[in-house]
Amino acid sequence: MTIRTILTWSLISFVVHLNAQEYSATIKGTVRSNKEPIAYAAIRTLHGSDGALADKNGKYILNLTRTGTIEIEVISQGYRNLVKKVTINSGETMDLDFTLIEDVLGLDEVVVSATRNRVERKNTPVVVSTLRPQILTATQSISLADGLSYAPGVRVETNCQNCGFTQVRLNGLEGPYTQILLNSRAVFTSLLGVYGLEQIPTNTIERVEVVRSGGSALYGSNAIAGTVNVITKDPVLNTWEVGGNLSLIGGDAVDRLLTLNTSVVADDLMSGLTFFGNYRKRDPFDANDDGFTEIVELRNTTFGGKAYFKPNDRSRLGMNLSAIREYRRGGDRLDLAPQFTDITEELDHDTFIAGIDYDLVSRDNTTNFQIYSSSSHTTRDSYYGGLGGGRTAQDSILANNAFGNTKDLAWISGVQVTKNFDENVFTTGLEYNLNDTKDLIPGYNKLIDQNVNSLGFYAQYEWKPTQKFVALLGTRLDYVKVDGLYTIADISRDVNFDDAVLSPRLTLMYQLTKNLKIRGGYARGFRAPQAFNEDLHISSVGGEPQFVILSEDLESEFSNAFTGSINFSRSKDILQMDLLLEGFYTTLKNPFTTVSTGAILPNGSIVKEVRNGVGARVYGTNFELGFSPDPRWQLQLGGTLQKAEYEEAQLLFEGSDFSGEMDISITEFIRTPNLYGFLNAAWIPNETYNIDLTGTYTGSMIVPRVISDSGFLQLNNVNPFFDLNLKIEAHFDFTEEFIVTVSGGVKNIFDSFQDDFDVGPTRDSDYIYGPAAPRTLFIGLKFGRFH
Amino acid sequence: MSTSVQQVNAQSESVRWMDFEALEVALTKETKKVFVDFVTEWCVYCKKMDRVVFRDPEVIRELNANYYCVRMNAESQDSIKFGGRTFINREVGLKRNPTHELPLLLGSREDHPFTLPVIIILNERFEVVERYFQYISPEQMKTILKI
Repeated sequence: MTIRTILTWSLISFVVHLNAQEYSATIKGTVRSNKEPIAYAAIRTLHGSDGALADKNGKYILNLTRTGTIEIEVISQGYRNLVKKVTINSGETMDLDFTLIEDVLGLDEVVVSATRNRVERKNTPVVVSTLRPQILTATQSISLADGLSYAPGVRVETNCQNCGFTQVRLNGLEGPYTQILLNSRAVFTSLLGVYGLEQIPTNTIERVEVVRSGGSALYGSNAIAGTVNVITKDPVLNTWEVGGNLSLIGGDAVDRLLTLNTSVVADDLMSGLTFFGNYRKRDPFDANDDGFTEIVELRNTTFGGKAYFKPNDRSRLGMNLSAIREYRRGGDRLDLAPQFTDITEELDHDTFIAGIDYDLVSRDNTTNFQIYSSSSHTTRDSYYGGLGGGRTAQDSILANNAFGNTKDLAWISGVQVTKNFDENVFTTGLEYNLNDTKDLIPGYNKLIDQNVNSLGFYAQYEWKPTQKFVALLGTRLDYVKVDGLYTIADISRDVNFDDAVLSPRLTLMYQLTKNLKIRGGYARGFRAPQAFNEDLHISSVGGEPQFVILSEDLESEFSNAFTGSINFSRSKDILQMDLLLEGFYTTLKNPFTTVSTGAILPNGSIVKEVRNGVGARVYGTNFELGFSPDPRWQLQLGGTLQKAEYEEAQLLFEGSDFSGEMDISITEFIRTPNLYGFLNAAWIPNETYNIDLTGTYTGSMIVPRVISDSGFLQLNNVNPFFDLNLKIEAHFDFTEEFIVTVSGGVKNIFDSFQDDFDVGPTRDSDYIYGPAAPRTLFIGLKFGRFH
Repeated sequence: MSTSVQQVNAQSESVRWMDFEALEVALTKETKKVFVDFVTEWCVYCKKMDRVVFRDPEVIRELNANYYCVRMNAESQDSIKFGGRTFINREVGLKRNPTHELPLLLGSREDHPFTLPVIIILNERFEVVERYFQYISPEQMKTILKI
C-alpha cells in the first residue's frame, strides 16, 4: 500500500464532506473528564458527516445537517470514545455534555517493553555481554564491584578483611589479566585496580560491556582474560535525579548512599553536559565479634562532569573531569590512631580523572577520525600495619613506621582512523600509554618506583564477503619499556625491560541459519614484568605485614587464547530466547605466580614473590540463557564450568630447612571455582511495580590460609555459596517532570556467608572468600525527572 | 461557515494536538495544511522535541494558526477510522515494539528500518510535502515552517 492510496481515499471523503453545509439543528455543550474540561475533543455524528471540535475549555457547538435520532461520538486522545444517542428535531438547539473516562490501558505496556531488560545480542563477530543499568538497579548495586558478576565468566571477589581489596576475575584469571576501560580508555591503573571497582558509582554508568578473551586488537595486549568497558551516560534530555539508599549489613552495619545526577542538553543537541555526584558512608562490619573488621569502613565522595560540543554535524569534542575521594579503614579499634591498634589498614585516595576527545567524520560518511587523551592521577596516604598483638617497644616502633604514601599517574593518548568500504571496515591506530607509580613506606623500607611506557600500533580489518560471514583480522605491535625499582627491608629488585611484541588476533563468525551463529577466535597476549595491583597492597598475617615483591629476572608472560561459541537466538512473536555456549582454552606461558617464601625478613614478616610459574591452562565453558515469553517476564541465567590448572605442581609456599616446614605445591588454581554463575529474573506486572530476583552461585574452591607465623599454608576446600537477592520497586509518575521510585528488598536472603574467618590480631587477613556481605536489608528512594 | 475550529484562540500556549479521527472531522470543516508527529514513550528525541521545539512560542503560533497538528503514539493499539478505512496495529503480539499500520504507512522508507521521530507535513490537498526522520531543532523547525 502506498501513501498515495490513503491520501486519495482521504481526499474523496473530505471533498464529499465539504459540500454539505446546510444546518438544520445545533447541539452544544462541554466535554469533561473528572469534572475538568477536555480541550480539543472531536465530536461527530456516527452515521452522518457532521463534526466539530471543542475549544480549549471543552466547549463545542455541533451543527447538524441531519435530524431525528442520531448517535454522537466524542473522541479525544487518552480517553475512551463515548457515544450518546439523542433525538433532535429540525430547528432545535440542544445542550449535551459529555464525561469521558481516561483510557488507562494502551500505552502502558509499550513503556515497559522498551525501557526495561530485553534479551539481545549484538551482531558482532566478538561476543559482547552487556550489563545494562537495569541489572545494576535490580541488584541494588552501589558500586561497579556489586553488579559486575552478572555476566558469564565474571566473578568479583574480596581479597582482604582489612582493606576490602576487590578484584574481578574473568574466566578464573586474576584481576591483572583483565583490562578495565573507562569509556574505552585504559585510565584504570594498577593502583586503581586495587580499590577502583568500589570507587566507580553506578549512577554514572550507561552500560558495561564485557568481552571475554582478547577478541579485539584495539585494546591492550595485557587483556588476556578480556576487557570490561564501563561506558558512562551520554544524555539527550534535560534530566535531574536525586537518590538515596540505606542498607543494613548483617543487621548491624549501616551503609548510606546519596547520588545526584543532572543533564542539560542544548535544544539543537549540539552541546550538552552531565554532572554527577555520589556520597557513600559504610560502617565497618565484624562478622565474628572478634573486634576485627570483615567489611571495612568506607567513605567515598565522587563528583564530576562530562560535556560535549559539536562544532558541526560531522565533528564532536568531548571532555570529562571527575574526582574521587575515598577513605577506607579496617582492622580493630577504628576510633584510635592506627599506630595504637593491633591491625589497621587505612587508605585515603585522591583521584582526578580527565579526558578530552575529538571525533571527525568525513563528508561522505565513510571515514572516522578520532584523537584522544585521558589521564588519571592518584595520591594515596596509606597505613598498613599495627602492633599485631604485641606490646613491646619493637612492636611500637614498627607500628609507628607503617605510614606510607603513593603517587600514581596514568596518561593515555592516541589517534584512530576507521574507514568503511561498503560492508568492510578497516581500523588502525596508535596509542601511547604511560604509567608512573611511586609507592613508599619508609618504615618498612618498602618502595615501588616504576615507570611503564608503552607504544602500541594496531590495525584491524572487518571483512564481510557475504551476509553470512564476518572475519575480524587484526594485530597489534606493542613496544613496552618498564623501568622499576622495588625494595622491602633488605631485599631489592629492579626491572629494566624493553621489548616489542606482536599480538595477532583473529575472530570469525558464520551465520549457519537465521537463528544460529557460530564464532571462533584466536588471540595472543602478553604481560611485561611489572608490579600489578596486588603488589601495591599489603595484607597482614601473624600480626606482621605480608609483602609482595617481584622476583629477580622476571620474564614476560605469554598467552594463547582460543574461543569457539555457538549462539542460538530466536524471536517468535513477542517471545525472545537467546542461548550462548562458549568454549575457551587459554594457555599461559611463564604466568606471574605469587609464591610465599615464608617469614624471611629480619622482623619476621612474610614475603611473597612474584615468579614465573610453570605453564598453565585455563579451559571451560561459559553459558548464557536469556528467555522472555513476553515483556513482563524476563529470565537470564549464566555461568561458567571450567578448569584452571598448572601443567605440573606449582609451588605456593617455599619451606626451609631451618623451620623444618615443607614446600606446598598445587596443580589447581587457588580461589578459582570450577562452577559459578548468576541468575537474573524480572517480573514487571505493570507500570508501577517491578520485582527482581537476582543471585550468584560460587562453587567450592581451594582457598589457602596461613596457619603459622612462618607463613605455612593450609589448603582449604571451601563450601559453595548461593547469594540470592530480592528487590521490589515501585514507580510513581506524578507528572512528566516529577517521578518517584521507591524500592526495598533483601540482599543475600539465605545469609550465605563465610563462617570460618580467622580471628584476632594474628589472623590471615587474606583468608576471605565468597559473597561480599551477609544478609542485608535495604530501602531506596529516587526522585526527579528521569526521562 | 461557522465551525468551532475557528473559535479557538491561535495564541494559546501549547500546540493543539489532535488525533487522526479528530483530524478527519476537522478537515471536513475546513482544509488546512497538516503536521503529523509520530512518537513513542521511549523515543528520547521525540521527548526532546516535545520539550523544546513544540514549546517554542513562534513554532506554536505558526502550527496552531496554519496547520492541523496530529500526534500519534506509533505503538498505539487502537483501531483508527480514517478516510473511510480502519487502521489497526497488526504487530501487536508479534513484536516487542509493535508499530501501528498508520505510522508504518506514512513513515516507512525503502532501505531503512522504521525509526522515530517521524514528522510529516502535508499540504491543503492532503499530499505529503516533506518527511523528516531525525531530531529537528527549534531553528530548523522555523526554517521548515518558513517562520
